[in-house]
Amino acid sequence: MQTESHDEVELQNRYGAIMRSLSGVTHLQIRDWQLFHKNLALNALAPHLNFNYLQAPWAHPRGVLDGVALRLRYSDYELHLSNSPNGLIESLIFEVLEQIRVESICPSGLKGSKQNVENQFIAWMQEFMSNGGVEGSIGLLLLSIFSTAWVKLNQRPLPQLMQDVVEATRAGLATELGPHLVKLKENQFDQASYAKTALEITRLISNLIDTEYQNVPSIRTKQKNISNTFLKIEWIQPPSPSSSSEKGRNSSVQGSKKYLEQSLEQYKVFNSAYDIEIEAKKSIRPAQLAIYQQELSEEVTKLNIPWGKLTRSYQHIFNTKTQKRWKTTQVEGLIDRRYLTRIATAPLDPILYKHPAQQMETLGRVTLLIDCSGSMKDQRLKIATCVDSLVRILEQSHIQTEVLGYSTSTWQGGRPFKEWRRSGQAPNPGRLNERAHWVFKDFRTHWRRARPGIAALLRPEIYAESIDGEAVLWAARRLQSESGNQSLQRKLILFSDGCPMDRATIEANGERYLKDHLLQAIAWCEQQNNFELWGCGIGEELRPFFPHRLSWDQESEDPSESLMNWAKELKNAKTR
Amino acid sequence: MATSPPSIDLLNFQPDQMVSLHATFPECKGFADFQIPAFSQKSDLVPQVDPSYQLNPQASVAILAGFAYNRRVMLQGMHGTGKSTHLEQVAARLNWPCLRINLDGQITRMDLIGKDIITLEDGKQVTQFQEGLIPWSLQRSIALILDEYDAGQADVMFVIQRMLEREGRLTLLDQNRVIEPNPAFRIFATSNTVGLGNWNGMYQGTQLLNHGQMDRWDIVAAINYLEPAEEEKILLAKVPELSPATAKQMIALANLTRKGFEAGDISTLMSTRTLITWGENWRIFKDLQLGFTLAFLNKCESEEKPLVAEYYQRCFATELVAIKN
Repeated sequence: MQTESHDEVELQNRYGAIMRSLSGVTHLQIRDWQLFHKNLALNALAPHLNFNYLQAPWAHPRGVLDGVALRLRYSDYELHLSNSPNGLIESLIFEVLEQIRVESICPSGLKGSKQNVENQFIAWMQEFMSNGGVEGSIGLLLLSIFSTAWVKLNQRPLPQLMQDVVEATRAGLATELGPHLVKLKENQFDQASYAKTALEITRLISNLIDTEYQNVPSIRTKQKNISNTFLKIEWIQPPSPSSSSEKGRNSSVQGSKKYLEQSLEQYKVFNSAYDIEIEAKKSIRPAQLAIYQQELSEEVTKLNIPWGKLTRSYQHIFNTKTQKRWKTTQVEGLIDRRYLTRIATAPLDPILYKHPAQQMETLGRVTLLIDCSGSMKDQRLKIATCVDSLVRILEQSHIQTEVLGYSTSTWQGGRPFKEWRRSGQAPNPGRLNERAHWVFKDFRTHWRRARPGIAALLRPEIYAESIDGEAVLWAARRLQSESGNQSLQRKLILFSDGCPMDRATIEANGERYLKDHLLQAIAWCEQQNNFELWGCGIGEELRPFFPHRLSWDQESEDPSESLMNWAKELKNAKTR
Repeated sequence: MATSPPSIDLLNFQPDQMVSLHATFPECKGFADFQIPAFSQKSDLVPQVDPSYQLNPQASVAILAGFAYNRRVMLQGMHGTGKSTHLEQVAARLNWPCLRINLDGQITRMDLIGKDIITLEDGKQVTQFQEGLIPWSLQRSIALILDEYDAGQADVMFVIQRMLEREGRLTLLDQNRVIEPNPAFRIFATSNTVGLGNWNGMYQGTQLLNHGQMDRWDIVAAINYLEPAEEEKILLAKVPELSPATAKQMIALANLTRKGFEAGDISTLMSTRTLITWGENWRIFKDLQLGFTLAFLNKCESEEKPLVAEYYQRCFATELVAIKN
């Protein structure tokens, strides 16, 4: 499992929250330091708002967040996209000019935000200059344009040093740019008219750049100039209007339930005859199991986990639903006829009334799904202690739990792979391996009786390759099929370290086959009602695809800290 | 109630004048004019007019249609949007007597319809039927406001259902009596949800409403938080010492908490009421941050305080000191 610290998870949540409030867009989320709106990454941000700067020492994170939030609030994304020019530089200039506009119209009530975005813009320009961004001619030209537009729209001066750097270029452009700038200022509050002027400026600049290339006399100086023009700005061009509308359509189709089910059906299994689904403890000799259990118990006792405190905090997480019940044998209220005889039997103390009362009830069900792939083997003791303690805490808070695991029975594809080889290696055979689904504890077993089962996690032999997509669907369906209240909160927590890894299947079907299936399974989970999928320790490659994540610290030896952090993280995740 | 009669006999008290929408409610100039019956005399049950209250034109016109044409009007909106106050203020300008009933989970059928009570008559104990709030107000010129309509118990709601039909008569089974509603009886309701129950976890204790119930409300008006400019007027009217710039910042902060609440990031929000309290606290303590802490911050959960502090920084460009302690 890979480290994702609690502080980092919390910080991303907090950053996300402030952006949601400022922009009024409720579906924003920061996942693994990327901005997501309804499962789509928003990347085409002005260079000074690059999300990587959130952790940079020179930057003002508040300015980055506020800048993006203001942009979402005051700018029509579709309109901006439909006007956006095609060239790389042109689209960049157009984007930055629009960003400067929204930052300049920040309402006076948000005085702090205004200050934050100004600080960030100036800090970015200084950083750009000190990194040699203005050594190239294009860099200097762009910086001059941006700073001049910024000064004009905000009516604020720049730091002296910066003024000196851009002064010569600015003066050279003044006659051509001047009238446009006046128009920009006039149309500050009207995105459509502003965009027209901004486009004129982009054309002007792009002509300037073209002429600069043409005027170069010799190849040698040309080469020198090319290296000079190298632009030190990280810029991802927004999708062009036509492709974006197509993409939008695609994504809406992709998101649809039917499409998802269809693509899930396309996943094939070459031969499922060797797949197993068994209770893990049954595959271990009782004597060996006792040793594992002893080892696990000793480990848990060593930790001094504050059970009572943790139980209380977990109880609060699961929606304590108020239910109306009659409280009987009260001294006042409505007469309960079942107790009428008490008038005769205890005339002095007729407690025969009832009144409706609200009762708190914990309603929730949790499945812990553990990736038993080879790379998880080293951390199995820590995972087992965490799982054992979590199950104990949850069951004491009256939340039913199940602990499942997945791996393969053999390495290198096993019997299905050999069969496929023998049958002539038809292309795209589907999954080629002996899938193994382990049940460490089911919902009906009480945690005290389930401890040998959980101790089976310590057996090194169960750790092999992993087929994640199938396992997620298997666990999710088990969690759903358990009868019960519809409003029951269901949470599936996946402990895993990375992508699905089954060499035989990947060789036969391509690199993305298993990963795509996992992503589809994740998307399927997100569409279920009262259902949440959580990832814990997920590697960087897949992290952005999990809307809910629990922190995991590989170095830390103390699971009680993790358990406390998880309680906070689970609590802070609200339905979005 | 029946035992404590108001100074004016509401049984025979009828609207005695007609006022025009545009003249009495200048806020509603954007809508077609119509005549509304009104009372020239004030009775005990008429709420006080609050001159600083800003009426929302759309909601007002819906409420006034209810008064003029005997329509059943339901106001729906988040808490703190001033739904009940809005109804009262419209009634106050018409001098229409008002009665508010909070339909919380504990109100029973007997409270509403009436029950037999034991009284002393000529030194003897006799049982007597005491009318509940509904038969009592049905016979009088009263605008009955059912607050928290979606929190009412299902069996109680069916008692109300009978009244929701226009000229709907109420049969008192206990007394073999049919009550004709007073021509000037009106009924209004306010609710947080539109009968969909507590679907997003925001409003605990609300119920799903029977669709037959929802169907009987002729007009459902949504009332939202005031526009910042309107809210500023109220705030400055209540706390005139505030500078307009500060008022703007306070309102921007309130709006951030509202958005945060909508997104599920914080569990408390600042209503106009909280804003005014904050302003009043500032008048007492001469300290904006302390006033804010006492009026709002201390209502928040400790996990939410850092986020609220960020909101504060966004609006006032200073750090909230209280949070660091």
